[in-house]
Amino acid sequence: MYSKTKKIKTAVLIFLILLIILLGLTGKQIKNSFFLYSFPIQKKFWSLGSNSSNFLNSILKARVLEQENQELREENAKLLQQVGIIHQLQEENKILREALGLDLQKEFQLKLADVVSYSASESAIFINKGSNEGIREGMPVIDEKKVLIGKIQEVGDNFSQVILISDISSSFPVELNNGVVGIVKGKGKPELSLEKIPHNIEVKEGDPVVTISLGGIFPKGLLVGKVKEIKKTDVSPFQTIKVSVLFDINQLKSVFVITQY
Amino acid sequence: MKKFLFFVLFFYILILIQSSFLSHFCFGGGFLNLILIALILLNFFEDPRKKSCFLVAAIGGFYLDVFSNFYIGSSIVVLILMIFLAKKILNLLHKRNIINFVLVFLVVFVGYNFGVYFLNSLLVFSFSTLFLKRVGLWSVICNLIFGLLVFFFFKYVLEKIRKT
Repeated sequence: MYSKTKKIKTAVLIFLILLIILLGLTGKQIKNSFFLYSFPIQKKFWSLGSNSSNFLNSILKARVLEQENQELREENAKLLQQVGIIHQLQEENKILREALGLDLQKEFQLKLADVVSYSASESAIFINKGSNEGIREGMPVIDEKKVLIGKIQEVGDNFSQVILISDISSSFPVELNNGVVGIVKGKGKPELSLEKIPHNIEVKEGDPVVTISLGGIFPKGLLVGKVKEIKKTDVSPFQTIKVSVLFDINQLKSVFVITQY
Repeated sequence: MKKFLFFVLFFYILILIQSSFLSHFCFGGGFLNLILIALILLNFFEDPRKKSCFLVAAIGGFYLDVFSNFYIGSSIVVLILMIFLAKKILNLLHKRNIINFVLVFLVVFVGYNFGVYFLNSLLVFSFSTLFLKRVGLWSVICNLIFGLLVFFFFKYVLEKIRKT
């Protein structure tokens, strides 16, 4: 009796191990099939969740909206001034390009994709474009404002997983507007830390952080975030800088995958 | 058989809600893991001698792997181990009260999250201690609060059934 139970247990264990190996080997195809059939429902749930969350946020944040509005007005006034300067620079740039005989090329080749779900591991999103559409692992993913969201981690035929820059495994070189190079690391929550910036370098709150082509992880000039908090301690030779990301998962409905740069 | 087919469908609905709808509701950096909560509750109210929760855990683990960037099989293994551990604890505790529920919940929830990230970091051959940062306090708290709400609802329904 004992040996029979033992045999059954061993058989179940072997079956489970074989099943897991089989599942592991065919993982991509399984994920792809599930994604393909679940996509219409997930898309509905995603929109519903996004709308509900925005509605709740608008109620909860009603008090701070007025203050935010005032700040935005002030920021808008500053930006309008900058737009004038940029417009002038663009004109100059155009003239210079024409003078140099350069063709106006598109910066990147992009592929538009819809966001359909958030990974159960809380660090990635799923999009509805895969290898059938030319998506490959490692391709950067941005939004319409050229804000970096993450990079393609896994590709199925009809879906891809985008690992967010805020994931704790994420780490890449960036540049501040004064040309100083540092390393940005994900902190899990929608926040990043900027590292390797010595004490003598002046960094201001609100300074934009952009990617550089060093290491070939991302193309140059993608907006990563804005400096949120700066701390200087004697313990470390570097500053402790928090960077806020500029994308909001709740607002993301479509993203662009940079297929060539 | 019917029971397992029910869980195949039920967990599929839960994972769709979890990954597409609830992901917009971040509670201090924590997201609800409906499948894990459902499994803990099922195991808690199941007779510890019964083994059906292991298969239910495998179904739940499969969905958690499919709808995440985990390797398929990793959540299945970790969840089965966690259910085994929870059954051992429940055998020692006997009573099905709130304190024991919180204890089992914390063991399984934290154990699963650490276990699955640990296993996945091993599987990609890039082991680091990063997996220790994966389980946020807020994530545990908000899942526990939701788990407790369902626990009371479950208990209420069970009592009503017993009375009738």
